[in-house]
Amino acid sequence: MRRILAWVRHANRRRETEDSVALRVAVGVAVMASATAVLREGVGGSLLVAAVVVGLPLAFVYSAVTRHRSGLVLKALLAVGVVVAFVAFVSRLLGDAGSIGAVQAPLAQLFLWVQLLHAFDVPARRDLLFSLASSFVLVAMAAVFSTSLGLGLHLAVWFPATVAALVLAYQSRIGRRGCIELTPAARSGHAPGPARRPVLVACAVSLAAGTAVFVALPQVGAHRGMSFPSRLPERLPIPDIGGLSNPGFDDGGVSTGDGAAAGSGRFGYFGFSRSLDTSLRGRPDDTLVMRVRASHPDFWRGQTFDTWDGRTWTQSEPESAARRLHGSSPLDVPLRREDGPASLGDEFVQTFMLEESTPNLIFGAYDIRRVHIPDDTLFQMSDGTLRTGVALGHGAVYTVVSSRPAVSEASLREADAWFASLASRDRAGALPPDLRERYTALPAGFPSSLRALSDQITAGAPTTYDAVLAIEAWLAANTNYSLDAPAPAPGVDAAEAFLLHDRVGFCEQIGTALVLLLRAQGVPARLVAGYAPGERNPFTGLFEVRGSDAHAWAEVYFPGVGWQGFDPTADVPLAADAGSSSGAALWAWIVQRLPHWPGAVWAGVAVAVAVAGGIALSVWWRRRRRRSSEAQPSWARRQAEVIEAFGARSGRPRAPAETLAGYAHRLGVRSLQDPAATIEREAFGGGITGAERRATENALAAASRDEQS
Amino acid sequence: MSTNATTTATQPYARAAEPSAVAYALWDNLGRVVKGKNDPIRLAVVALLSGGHLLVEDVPGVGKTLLAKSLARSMGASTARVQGTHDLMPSELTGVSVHHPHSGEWHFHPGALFANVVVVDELNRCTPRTQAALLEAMEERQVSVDGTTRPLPDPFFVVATQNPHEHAGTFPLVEGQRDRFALVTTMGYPDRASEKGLLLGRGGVPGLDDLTAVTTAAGVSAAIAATSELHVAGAVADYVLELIAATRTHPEVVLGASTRAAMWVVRAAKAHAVLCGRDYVSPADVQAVAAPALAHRLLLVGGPDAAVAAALVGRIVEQVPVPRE
Repeated sequence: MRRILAWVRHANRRRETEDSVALRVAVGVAVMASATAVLREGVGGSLLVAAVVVGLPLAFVYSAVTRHRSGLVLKALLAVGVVVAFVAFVSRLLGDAGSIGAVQAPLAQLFLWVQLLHAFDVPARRDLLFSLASSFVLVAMAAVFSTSLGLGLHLAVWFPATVAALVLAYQSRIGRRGCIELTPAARSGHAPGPARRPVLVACAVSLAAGTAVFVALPQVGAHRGMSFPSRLPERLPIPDIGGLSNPGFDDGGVSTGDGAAAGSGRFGYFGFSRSLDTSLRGRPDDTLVMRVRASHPDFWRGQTFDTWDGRTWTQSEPESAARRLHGSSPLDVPLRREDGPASLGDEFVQTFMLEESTPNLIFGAYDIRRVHIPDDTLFQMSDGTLRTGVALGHGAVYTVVSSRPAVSEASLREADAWFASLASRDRAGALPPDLRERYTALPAGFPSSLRALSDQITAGAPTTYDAVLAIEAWLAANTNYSLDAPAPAPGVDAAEAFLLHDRVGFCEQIGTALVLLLRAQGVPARLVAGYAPGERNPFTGLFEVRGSDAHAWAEVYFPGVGWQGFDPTADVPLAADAGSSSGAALWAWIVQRLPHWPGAVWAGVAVAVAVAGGIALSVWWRRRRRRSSEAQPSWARRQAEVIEAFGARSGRPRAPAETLAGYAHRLGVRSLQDPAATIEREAFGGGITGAERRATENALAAASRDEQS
Repeated sequence: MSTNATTTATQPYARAAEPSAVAYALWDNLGRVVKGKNDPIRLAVVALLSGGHLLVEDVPGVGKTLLAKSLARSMGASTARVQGTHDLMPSELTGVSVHHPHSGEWHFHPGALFANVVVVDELNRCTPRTQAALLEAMEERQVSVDGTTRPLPDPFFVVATQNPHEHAGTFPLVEGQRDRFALVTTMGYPDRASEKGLLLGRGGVPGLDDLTAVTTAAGVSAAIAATSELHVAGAVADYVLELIAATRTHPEVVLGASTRAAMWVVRAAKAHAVLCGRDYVSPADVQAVAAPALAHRLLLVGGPDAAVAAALVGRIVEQVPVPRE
């Protein structure tokens, strides 16, 4: 017990104050960069932000100025502050009886408060290094929260500051005064410049190693933890409970018919509403709408439409018919009658992190089984789409667990035969009459020309699935994709205009065409509005979904299988396949961003880069040789300077005609003698091994430590 | 018993390079007999390993001859001793051809120089002619008698002694002749305890007869060869040249050290490094051998004085900066 007490007293003994301003600045910058990195991920309220942004620099300045005082009162105040922060943390946990995931943010806040309080009392080098180590933890925390590349900005500041702080701390420890000093007495000391080269080499090696590890690592998009993130920064109930609101899309700007300026340059999509007018033109812009963490790309489904009037899709189901799901997060989504057995496939977890105000739709891959959202109510439509009771704005996060339908081409082809083999009373179970009626309905004035076209295209198709393929093939061969498709004249059937006259359209027209041509064959089908998977960012591993990724496609019902999505517009542009390495994704990402120049231009660029690189290399090599022969002190010289500094501190500087070993001997410090002999062997003998170098450096560091304590 | 003790003492150096083991064993063995004379013993081994010769200057009765004999015995090599007198003839050193009347042939009778270790006592009592014959043989490592050149044994190591304080009836060596010796050392008086021990004859101090050989002539030859190959860094060579240059510009010196002097400093420094168990020459080695290797080669303003010259070299060593590591 007494030994433990003595040990504690020894560990907490008062240490020599740190006088290096540069070291304090470097540590301060590193801590500041890491703390703001955490704050920028939305952790903590305005009080914490203000406290960190204003208080942290103040704290470092204050502790630098008062570093020689014992500051017992301050220590007591800080201790009280830490206790208060901890109590606040515990009370938040108790009030927020959530999962482990709910601890993350309060924990980060607690850590920030402690970091801030600690910064007021950092007299010694050890305290500064403690702050530095904490800043590393903060950076790691920020990386966990981070969903964008903004963290890179903080890293770009934090990394050099940390390296500088480590170098300065080491120099300060071995007594080398390569930095600005506060006390004039210290300034008179021997002052060789800091050893730049080993620092640069160490930086380059660690960066290269980090890059190599990053490139070689498989890309992790899926969730690792057990808790699925969800967050609502503010709870704004939408005016029409159970209804649909689409704040990203400005309804006032819509003008139907003439096809002008729909959405007026905003990121919102007109498809996320009660109706979708296919005569509208104009597309949402490239605004980043949300980021999705998922192991695979998929279509993020939002809304479906069942009723076609010749120009506009609408949802026939009234919003009052929505099923109210009530409970605590996670909310289980009940199976519906029309869900086939295939809906019970593999679990697929997706987290949606919203950047902009989106419609109050829960997006997700078909078919959603569970939703993690910090709210107690969801509204489920009969088509499986979900709506929230609150507005979803910037900063909202929800996680969706879907089951991916386990279907194959064979199972889709067999669906018809299986259905035909059923007894008539079982058929109603496999394809309920009301479902059939609802999803095969065509308007009264449906053009016979389209029926004829449908018959013509699907004439040779033995199964429903083959019919779908035949229509897709026909659309691919006979229509062109263009965002500048002409708007249909008023009063004209939009589908007929597209399929028989213009034959130019985009996803709404093409998807609509597939649905209508299938319905003409009596196949249940519907139009779906949602988002394409977006592009996977190789650095964050997240899919970045932009306004322009808004998409419409078709869903076809197969008896015994369920709803199956088809995208007739194009092959799904998968940004990155799951399981590929980060390096491959990075390369693809870079290649995609390169300008599309002809090969000759690229060859010229390559030659120019190679020539410039060669020149730079030769200049570097020549400078290196010159420097190594002249200015740059050798390893032996630097280590000898450590011993000389040691002797100078003990009042016995080295005479010019004194050999290092003799000097170390006369200093009378046994632990310096072996290093001195080794240094001489490096300088005048045949050289020493790397192990001997390290042993010498360690021995000298140990000697300096012993000297201090 | 002494053999056992020697083995134990050389144990730490058994792992070292061969020349170091030989040097240490010799040094250790000499120390058993020649008490209280660390520096002369060290320099004797250094002179031997550097392939040069040693001149010991001091008053009689302080162990000059004992040192030389002990060294010869420790090597297990052939040894010869010559007492310098006026009437010592060169042929007594080199040998003579004698006519055998029965066979009608001339037979060569080798002189005192045909031994591995030759001790020449009272060198300054020899006539200049005899001195010249000796010094020539030291330099050439061979003798020419009656038109035939005969190589001297290998190794060949001359330890000459003289009393610098005797002037009557002596022929002092001129600077050019002193230059033939690699190192010059004084013996100095032993410390009080050593002298008392000698008087009381206790402490188990072994006599010369108790000394056993710790190496062989061939072992010493190999060690000399290995020593000459030792690594000398350019910075250390520069340091030697700085020291030499300092003797040349020193106001108290009429004639500074020659290039040969510089070469001998390096050779002696190599031997010193070997004795210290190093495989390279450190500036400390140069400092240790600078005075014994340089002092006797300088022509001072105040006339020849070994002590003054040694002190002067010592001051130069204290002033010239050592090479930076």
